[in-house]
Amino acid sequence: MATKGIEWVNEYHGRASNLSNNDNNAQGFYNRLSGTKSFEYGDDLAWDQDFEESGTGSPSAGTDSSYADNVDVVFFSGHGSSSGMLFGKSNRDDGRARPSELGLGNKDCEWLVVDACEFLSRTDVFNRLRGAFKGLHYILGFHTTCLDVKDRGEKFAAKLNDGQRVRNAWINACAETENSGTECAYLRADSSGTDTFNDHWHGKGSVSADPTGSVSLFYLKTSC
Amino acid sequence: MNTNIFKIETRLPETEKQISIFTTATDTETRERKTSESLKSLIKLFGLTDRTSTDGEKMIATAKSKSVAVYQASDSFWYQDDDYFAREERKFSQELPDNNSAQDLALKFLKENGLMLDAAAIHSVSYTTVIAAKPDEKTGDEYNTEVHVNFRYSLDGLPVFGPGAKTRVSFVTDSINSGVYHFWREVTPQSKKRNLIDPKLALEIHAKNFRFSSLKEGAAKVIINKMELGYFAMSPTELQPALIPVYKISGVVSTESLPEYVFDHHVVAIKYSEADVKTMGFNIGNVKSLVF
Repeated sequence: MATKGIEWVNEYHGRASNLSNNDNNAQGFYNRLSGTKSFEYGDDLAWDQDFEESGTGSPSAGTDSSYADNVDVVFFSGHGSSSGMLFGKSNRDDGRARPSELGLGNKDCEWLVVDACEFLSRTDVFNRLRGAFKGLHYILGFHTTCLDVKDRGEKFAAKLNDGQRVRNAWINACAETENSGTECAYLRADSSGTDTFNDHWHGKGSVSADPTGSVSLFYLKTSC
Repeated sequence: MNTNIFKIETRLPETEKQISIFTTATDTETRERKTSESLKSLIKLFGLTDRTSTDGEKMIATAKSKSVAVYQASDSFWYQDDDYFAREERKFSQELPDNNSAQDLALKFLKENGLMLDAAAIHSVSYTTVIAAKPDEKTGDEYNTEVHVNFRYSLDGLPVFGPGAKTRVSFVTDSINSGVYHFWREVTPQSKKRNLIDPKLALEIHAKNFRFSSLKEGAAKVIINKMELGYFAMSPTELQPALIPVYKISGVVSTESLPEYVFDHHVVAIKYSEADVKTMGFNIGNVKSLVF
């Protein structure tokens, strides 16, 4: 069974400016990608702790084993920065899923999509995000800022359904939805005996075994 | 405008009172004919087979690692050679053309194949960059695997913004073209111009948009540092009856939770009616919003 989950935020309650299209963007992904729908939480029901490893960070309220790490692919659409994914409410944890609080793949997650600005800024990217890879194959996102668009998620899902590699599908979806000044990016893990470069969505081509143990990381950024 | 939150640190654009409107061909018969003709010529150009398929959005021709997709909603295409496109291997960094050579190669390619349009000009050169880090390496080994020559478009001296107005020609060597995308719509200028709204009014509309409605005085700052008049071209997958006249407003928002993040917003630059929304295709995002 291939499973998927989404969280999105448009309403930031003054923590940042509001956004407009993240509901449609994430729901387009959710509705278009083949597979089982596991969860959708938006605005005030989207919580940083849903992405965080239990016992990490402060506060350490992480519940990823029930949400982000309980699906094959999880898609976040909202504000972001190199400091993490920003959520509209801070009363559950602290409203930010920080790189140091992530630890995905030790249960299920293969692909984390962060459709938000600068989460994958190249600055210190290995130090910031190496700990997130506990079996996780990819983080897909942006080195630069990106536009608040309604349809990148759907385009990405359509390309995955068409059998494109995960990495190609992301790069292509970004090119179709961004200005040329934007740079999309991914961070990929591989280890002995794995081949995540050729990852496809489940049922659409090969999917590598989970990279664990001594993991090499590959960061790629390219203009849209 | 709440000057306790908003600060303007740029000169407003000096504009004419009116702006030209550029329409595109959107009727199904024309689109199907243009897509078919375009695909035939691209198959020949890139040496592909004439076996084609469709995903409902694009007509696609493939041959081994090469493919070209023609977007049915616009006059756009994307050619990729998967053996070379966005690769990670270091060997692809060895023979990359330098910036000047890449620009010459891109111009030559577009001109020789009738793809260099009057509205296009080189904007920048960029790269696909890879950093590979072995276990426990903190910095990694950094190299480029593709060079891209990026073209942008202008009409009547005004820039065309958005994902539907760009051409990119990519190389891994002087003789290997790893990809070309050409996102553009053939446009027809209309005889009747439309009145522009004043840039100051556009700024007011922008400041009153719901995006900023929950920012609080003393806790948030919005600095507008650039404002340009131009047109907006939607994704090549969308039927867009007319390019949308817009003011592009760029700036920086600072809050305690998210200090100093930049934004680009577009405010429709003409006063429009409900009929315009349908005939010109202003349905941007989840609302028929003046700001997107």
